[in-house]
Amino acid sequence: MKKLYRFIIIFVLLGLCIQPRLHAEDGKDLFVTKCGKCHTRGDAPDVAPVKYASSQWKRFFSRDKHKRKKDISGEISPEEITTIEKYLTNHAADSDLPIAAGLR
Amino acid sequence: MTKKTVFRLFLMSVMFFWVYPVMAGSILVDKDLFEKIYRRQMILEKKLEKLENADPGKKTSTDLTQEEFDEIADRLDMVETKSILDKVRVSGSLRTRYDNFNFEKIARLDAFGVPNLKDQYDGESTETWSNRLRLDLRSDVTTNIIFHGRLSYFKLWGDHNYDTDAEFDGDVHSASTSVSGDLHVERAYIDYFVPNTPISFTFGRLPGTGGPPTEYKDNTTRKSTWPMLMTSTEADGIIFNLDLDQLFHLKKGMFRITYNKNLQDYLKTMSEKEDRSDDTRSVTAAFEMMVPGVNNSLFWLSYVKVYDLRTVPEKLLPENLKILDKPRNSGDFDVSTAHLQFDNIFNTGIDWFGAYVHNEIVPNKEGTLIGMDFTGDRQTFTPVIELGLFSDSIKGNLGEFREGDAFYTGLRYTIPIQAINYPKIGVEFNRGSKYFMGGILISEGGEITNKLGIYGDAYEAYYIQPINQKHMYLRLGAIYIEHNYYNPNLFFGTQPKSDMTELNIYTLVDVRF
Repeated sequence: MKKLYRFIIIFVLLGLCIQPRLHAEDGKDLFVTKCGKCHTRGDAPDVAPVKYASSQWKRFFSRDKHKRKKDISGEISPEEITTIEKYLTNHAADSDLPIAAGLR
Repeated sequence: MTKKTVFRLFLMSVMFFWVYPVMAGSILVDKDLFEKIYRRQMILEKKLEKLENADPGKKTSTDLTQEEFDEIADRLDMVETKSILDKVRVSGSLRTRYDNFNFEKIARLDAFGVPNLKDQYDGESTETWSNRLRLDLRSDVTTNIIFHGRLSYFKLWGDHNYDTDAEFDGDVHSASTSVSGDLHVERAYIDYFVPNTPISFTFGRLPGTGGPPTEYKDNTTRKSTWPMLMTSTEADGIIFNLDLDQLFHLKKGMFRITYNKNLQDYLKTMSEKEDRSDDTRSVTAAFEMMVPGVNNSLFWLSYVKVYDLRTVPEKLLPENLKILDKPRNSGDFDVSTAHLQFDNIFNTGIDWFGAYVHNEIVPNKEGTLIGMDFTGDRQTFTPVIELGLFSDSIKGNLGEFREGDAFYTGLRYTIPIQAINYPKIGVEFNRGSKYFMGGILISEGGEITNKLGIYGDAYEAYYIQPINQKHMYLRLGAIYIEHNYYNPNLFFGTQPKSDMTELNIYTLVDVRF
């Protein structure tokens, strides 16, 4: 058992001490913080990446469909919108979604 | 006065009080309002002019008749009805695989089924083709109730399946393959998310096959719950999930407690027979999270306790052997797992994983009594040996406590050449000790031996060539296994030493749809 505990400690230290970002954010944070402001508080319908297929998300952004309901250009920068679009298309209903118990 | 006269007087008085101030050059006229009305009038005049000059032959949307509108609405109704009724989304994959196996130093079995190291031979199985089909189902019943299913099929071309001990432990042991080659239910479970809480329940036939890091080799995303070295089995049970991301903002954090029934003898208390078996149950506590600051990483710790593992299955015995007596179970064991993996480290295109499993085995002191037919009449069986977990009566080690462990690591590199769809190369290594007893690992279809279940060392190298970035890829690979002990994944009897080696060269094409 000693060997196991030693190994677990090494794993935990490895896991918790590696702090630098190994690569860029995938946009989920932006989506949650920026879009979630309205879309999870009942101000607007709930939205999730799986709501549409990737082609539908692309069309949504290329035609700036959000503007019909609300102009968000003052709240989200074009760069942020690009990141959010990438996240939504990468996690769209027809994308290769991860599967595990309790994952939406 | 008539009503008409009264109405006229009323109208005149209104006009007087409204118009008089204006007529008298009243200061009540608002300049801004006037300009606004004027601008609006100009815009309307321009629009009118535009409409008058428009090409009369050109049809605009406003020219649609009510009938046409109604027709479009009817069509949309049909589409809406269909989309509402389309409750189940189907996706899947078809794999065709070619295998070439070479075995060296296979020991012949003696009369007791024990390998004889002095009598060895080489063997091969060339040009073995197989198909594997998976149909994945998903239905978002409501936003909080999601059904997942997977129907699987594996079959050798012109044959059924490998003659493995796939039914060894009930359906737990038949990971992703059916023994008969028929379509079978690999997964069928519900995720129920309790509204406005971080709690969810998963119940049914759980997603337990082909977990991390299988997605590297399969060129996809994570497709199962448990890490591969811990277990890769089809099992029924209930999982309590606590979303730590939602609760503590612990990125991709999840805590799970699972209850499984791995073997269920529903007649055990109803039958008068005394040789019924105890039910095999397992309880799992598992924690996972993303390593802080490292996207697409997985850090996993878990502990599984398995109670009352079944005894030696009679179907594994040669014809001349028979079970004469057996205990109701063969003992308990546990599995502790640590798993860590990172995708695309420092944007180098390198993915890495490492996993370690430790298990402790507490066997029953009473083993299964095996009898042998010395007369050849298949009627008289003489007691010869008692088999327990990693122990037998001949060696006198029945009931001895055992510890085992296994290690599994690997790398994958994405070659940055867009012109050939970013191919990937990967290497893997794993080692299992003499008494390693993971969560029961058997071939998923393709390999004859599941390399992760062995008592020895296994090396693998592969190359992935995406043919279509999203839907189709080709994999070429080779697995080399050095066995230190025989009977991988067979936990009964003393483990005989082995120097057998196994080389599996394979090619497969996977199409996802």
